Amino acid sequence: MSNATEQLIQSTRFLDSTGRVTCVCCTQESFSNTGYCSHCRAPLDLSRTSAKRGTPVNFVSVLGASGAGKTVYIGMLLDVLSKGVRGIQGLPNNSFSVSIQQHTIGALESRRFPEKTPSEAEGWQWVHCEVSTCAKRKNFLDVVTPDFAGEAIAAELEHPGTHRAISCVVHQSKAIILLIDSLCVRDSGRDEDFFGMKMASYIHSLRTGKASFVGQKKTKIPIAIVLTKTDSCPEAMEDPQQFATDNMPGFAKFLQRNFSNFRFFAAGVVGSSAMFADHRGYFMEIPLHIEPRGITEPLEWIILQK
Amino acid sequence: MTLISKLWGKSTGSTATAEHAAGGHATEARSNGPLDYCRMLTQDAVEASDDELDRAWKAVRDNMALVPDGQVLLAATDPESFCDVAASAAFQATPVASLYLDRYCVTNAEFAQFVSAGGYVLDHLWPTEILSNVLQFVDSTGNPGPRDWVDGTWLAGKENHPVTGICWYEANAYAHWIGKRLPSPAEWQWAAVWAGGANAGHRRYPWGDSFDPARCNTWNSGIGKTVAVTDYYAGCTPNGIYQLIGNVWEWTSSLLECDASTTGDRILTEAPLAEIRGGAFDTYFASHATAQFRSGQTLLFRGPNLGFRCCISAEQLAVASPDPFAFIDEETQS
Ligand SMILES: Nc1nc2c(ncn2[C@@H]2O[C@H](COP(=O)(O)OP(=O)(O)OP(=O)(O)O)[C@@H](O)[C@H]2O)c(=O)[nH]1
Ligand SMILES: [Mg+2]
Repeated sequence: MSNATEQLIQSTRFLDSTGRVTCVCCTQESFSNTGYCSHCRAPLDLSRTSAKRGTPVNFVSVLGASGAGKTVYIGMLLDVLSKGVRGIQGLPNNSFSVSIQQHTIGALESRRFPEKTPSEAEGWQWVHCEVSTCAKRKNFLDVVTPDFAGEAIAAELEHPGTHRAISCVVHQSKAIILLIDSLCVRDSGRDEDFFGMKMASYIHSLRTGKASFVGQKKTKIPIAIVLTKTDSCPEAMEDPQQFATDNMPGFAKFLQRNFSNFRFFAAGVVGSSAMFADHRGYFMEIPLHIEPRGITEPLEWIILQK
Repeated sequence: MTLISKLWGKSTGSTATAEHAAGGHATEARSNGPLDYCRMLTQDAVEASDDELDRAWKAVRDNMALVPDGQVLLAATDPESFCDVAASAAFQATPVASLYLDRYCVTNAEFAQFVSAGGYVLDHLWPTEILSNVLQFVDSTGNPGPRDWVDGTWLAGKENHPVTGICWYEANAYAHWIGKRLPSPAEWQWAAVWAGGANAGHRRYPWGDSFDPARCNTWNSGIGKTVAVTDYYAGCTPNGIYQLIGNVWEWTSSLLECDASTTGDRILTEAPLAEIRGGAFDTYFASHATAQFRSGQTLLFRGPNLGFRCCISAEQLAVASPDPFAFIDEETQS
């Protein structure tokens, strides 16, 4: 069977004449008039778009603890990709993908950070961005990921199965971008180290289907570990690998032992910051101006791993 | 021996500094001749010969642009206005007296003259409360100088790029050393917009109201680093001041002080911030690189995207030339 025929069969698999749609995320069927997959809450538009396009979807998921900077990173990544840098370009495939970009960029331009992501799956904004590196080679990669709430990820790590969308996305992913808050790593004890270890072991067991690590081969899935907020943590910006090894020893060792393809990156979007203090005594960090750094590098690396 | 040179110790005194700078790249600075022509026209004016004064005035004309007096609208700094960047809700009218402003940001080559003259060991240039910090104003190899220099000199090919990696105190020390000062935020902004005539108040860029990535080096131009101070002629003010927008943020003389809102909301910072203006090569939003946009950095910040230019009040130069606008007449006649 030719490659093109195989792709066509794969894509038509997602639509059938009974008005049901097979979800690209969890591969279960849902009625198309519901808007969202009734099993994992992925928008069915995602499945329709990929069916229309006729090529399978390559998931790249973005994970991290609550407050690690996922919403900021995803929104900024989409915006930078839509402008195109160093030969890499990304176009949102659905209107819902534009929403998170608009929401994040609108906030940052007005010197605010976007709001915390609600912990219920219904409130997550999904992203489908078609990234191409070179127009001639048709070298596509889809960034498909919901903007998960960090709390939901933490709950899923403690009790696998709590949030089906998370396990489905991680299971489907061709690569993972794992965000770690460099300021927490530097200033707040070992919490991020432990969270990183839990996250890595969750990915490992989902990908290998085994909970135990004894005698297991290393997992091949590319993982880009992105240290966020390095605008305020220059030591992480300078040498992310060294910073992670020095300050997250458990996580770094775990990766070495169980994954064959990972790399550390540093990112940050803030040029200078201040505190907004309202009259009730509520404090909130605000960015004074925006200078994105290290936003597309993880994706550029992932594309090279294909 | 000055107090500060004692603090620097034996290895980093002015002689060592001069040697480093002299051993640097042999490329010529953008402007030839001494940098302290303003001093000649102010303090030293009485003893100077006519010839010397003529030469100093020529240097002023070549290196600085006259900005007439006027009234500038500064964006309000209460939390509501401060975070409403696009709309820039409220403005405060602020008078500005006529001044001469550097046409270009201070370059690496120019700053090297300050370093080699022992600027880092001259007591009178540094407030006593930061003397211990001055010892940390070193380059990547430990020599006194901008943070991004190596072995006491700038990186190859960057002699005419704006000097960066200097904190607010270093910018002030240099300005003072050459007989000038940093512009206030109002002076800086007025210099960018005054030629807009009736629309000057709300003018966003020296060339008009629309952002144009071909006229300034910001994130949108895709260069991702500094360019020479003489680039982007198309982005000049009509009186020939280069790169007020983009390339590097510019230190101003004042602290960024935010007002409380009527409801008692405030913007606070851990350490004082000096106001910076104009945006840089890595500024993402066009709305953050306008003539009105006000931001800040901590006084000891020595980043790769922040430089400065100097100014002098026209009134000060008027001591040497009774009519500060004389050269405009001269130029229109020629
Ligand atoms: N200095 C700095 N702070 C950042 C940056 N990105 C995010 N932050 C801070 O981190 C906070 C959380 O960022 P979010 O993107 O909302 O984090 P999240 O991972 O989406 O968090 P949840 O929605 O709770 O899962 C922001 O409100 C900012 O205070 C950055 O690049 N630099
Ligand atoms: Mg979020």
